[in-house]
Amino acid sequence: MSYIEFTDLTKIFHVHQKEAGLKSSVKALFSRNLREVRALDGVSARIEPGELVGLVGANGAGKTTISKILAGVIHPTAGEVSVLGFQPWKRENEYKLQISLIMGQKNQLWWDLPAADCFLLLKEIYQIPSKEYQSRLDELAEILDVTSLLRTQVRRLSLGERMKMELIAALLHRPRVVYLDEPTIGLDISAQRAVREFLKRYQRDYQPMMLLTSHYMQDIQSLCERVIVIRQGKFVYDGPLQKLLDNYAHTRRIRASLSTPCVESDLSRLPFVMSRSQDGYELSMQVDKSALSESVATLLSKFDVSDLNVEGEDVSTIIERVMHGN
Amino acid sequence: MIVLAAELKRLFAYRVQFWFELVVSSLVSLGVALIVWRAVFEAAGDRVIQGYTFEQMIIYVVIATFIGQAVRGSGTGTFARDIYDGAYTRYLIYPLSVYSYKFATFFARTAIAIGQLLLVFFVMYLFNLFPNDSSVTPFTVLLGLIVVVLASWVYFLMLVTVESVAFWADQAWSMSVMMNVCIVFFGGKLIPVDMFPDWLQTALNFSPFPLLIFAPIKIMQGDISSFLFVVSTLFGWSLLTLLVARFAVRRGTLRYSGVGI
Repeated sequence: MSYIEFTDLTKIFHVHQKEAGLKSSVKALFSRNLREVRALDGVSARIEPGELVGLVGANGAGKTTISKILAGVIHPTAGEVSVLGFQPWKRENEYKLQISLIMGQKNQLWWDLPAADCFLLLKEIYQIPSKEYQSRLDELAEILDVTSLLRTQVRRLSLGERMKMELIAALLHRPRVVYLDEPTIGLDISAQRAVREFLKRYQRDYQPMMLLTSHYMQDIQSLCERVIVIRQGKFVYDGPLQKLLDNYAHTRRIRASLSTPCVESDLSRLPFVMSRSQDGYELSMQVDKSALSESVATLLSKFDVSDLNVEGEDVSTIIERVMHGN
Repeated sequence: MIVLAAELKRLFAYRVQFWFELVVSSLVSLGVALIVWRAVFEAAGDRVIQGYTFEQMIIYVVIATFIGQAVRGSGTGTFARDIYDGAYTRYLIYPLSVYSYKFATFFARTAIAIGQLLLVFFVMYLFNLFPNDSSVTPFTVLLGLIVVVLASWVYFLMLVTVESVAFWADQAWSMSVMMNVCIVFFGGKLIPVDMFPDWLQTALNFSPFPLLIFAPIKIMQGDISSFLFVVSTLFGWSLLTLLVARFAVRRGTLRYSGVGI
């Protein structure tokens, strides 16, 4: 049985729109213009146990709407959804005990309490036996290196520390399904890396099904084998990340180190050169994927090349291209 | 209980705020009421106004100050704010009842106010500050506290109903403030309800307001004959308000969009 299955999922919001200016504000007191926003437009997918799926798309594409529907926060307008055999928006306790929602932009912990007190509260809410609770807490706190911060008020923690506590809070009850909505947003590079490493390790050890939405391609590349790209409420790609990169990468970058420096006039023989180092020993070129062999052959025949590197196109660029339909 | 304990921990976390509210806020509230009634009695030139002596009015004001705080718990705005800023999502994700959770956090302040009232009674008893004609006894206080707990539950449900307007209107602050004003005035926190005109008292009998503050005060002051009537009527109001609150929250949750996440 798939852990998550949804068919023809649609969500329409009605949003009040107002023109700028005081006159419009007064007019809005008596009547309002409602605009229909089709956040999801008949999308379908199945996600199997143990999968870690990345969901990418531009702002407003519908990523968070999917997470909210699957977590039971909002109702869909149309379509069918089944998560672990439950309809999420019925919010049965049996369902809630098996899922978790981690939101990078919204704290769920109690701001005025130390993290340890928050976890005690969650222990009661999720009815975690004391022995298991303590061992899980010790394990998670040690992996995330926050044991010494458990007695600090949540509001006094840094953003990265707070995110780690949110992760602990969300995973204490060992959910089978975890929705991660931009868990690394706003974190510095080392904190992002720490969160990614933790998620990778947790997923490997406990095999929950995870749905990750993120704007950071390092998150997607590092964690997800399967990715869904959403554009204006529709899925435009659903499959292996590597296949997406292979199919949608148009160019390759060639970096060449030369034994004999080249001069500007030499470059006329290579019309696809992007840049040349000041001393003439390094060249960088971007060529169409289909012209790669020919380009390398031309480079090798016309220059004294001591080292050659061929790189794929930047992942962000590829995914952005898919997101915007270019 | 764990939620109640967590909310108490949260309240104790900010010492200045806690002591200020506990001591200064209560003293100011009491002081203002006593000054006003002193002036009223002096202006009237009578020892008795509508059946109350000045000493009886002092006892009434003292009890009303703390019962008013106890019944109103954590006050207005928290439920509407949760809806407005997306914190309501927590109650949809966690396996817990939004009513029991929110009431537990609401009741934390009720518990503190009850503690204050008991302390004040203890001090007054210790220093023999009760008037000679006072009928306040530990038994009447206990009965009054039972009514206070029930009254705080009814008030909480009324608040949830009013603040669930935030599902539709985003901001429900003014409505909950209005409800608070009605309860403070028509509930008898400022003026004993039996001092109102007869027609107003009759009209208020069809509302829960007098039962929330005035009724428990009278019971604590010794009028225990109405105890069973008050408790049974409050049970009836609690059932009605629970039905209305559940309907409003259920309908409102259908509209909830989790703004802020």
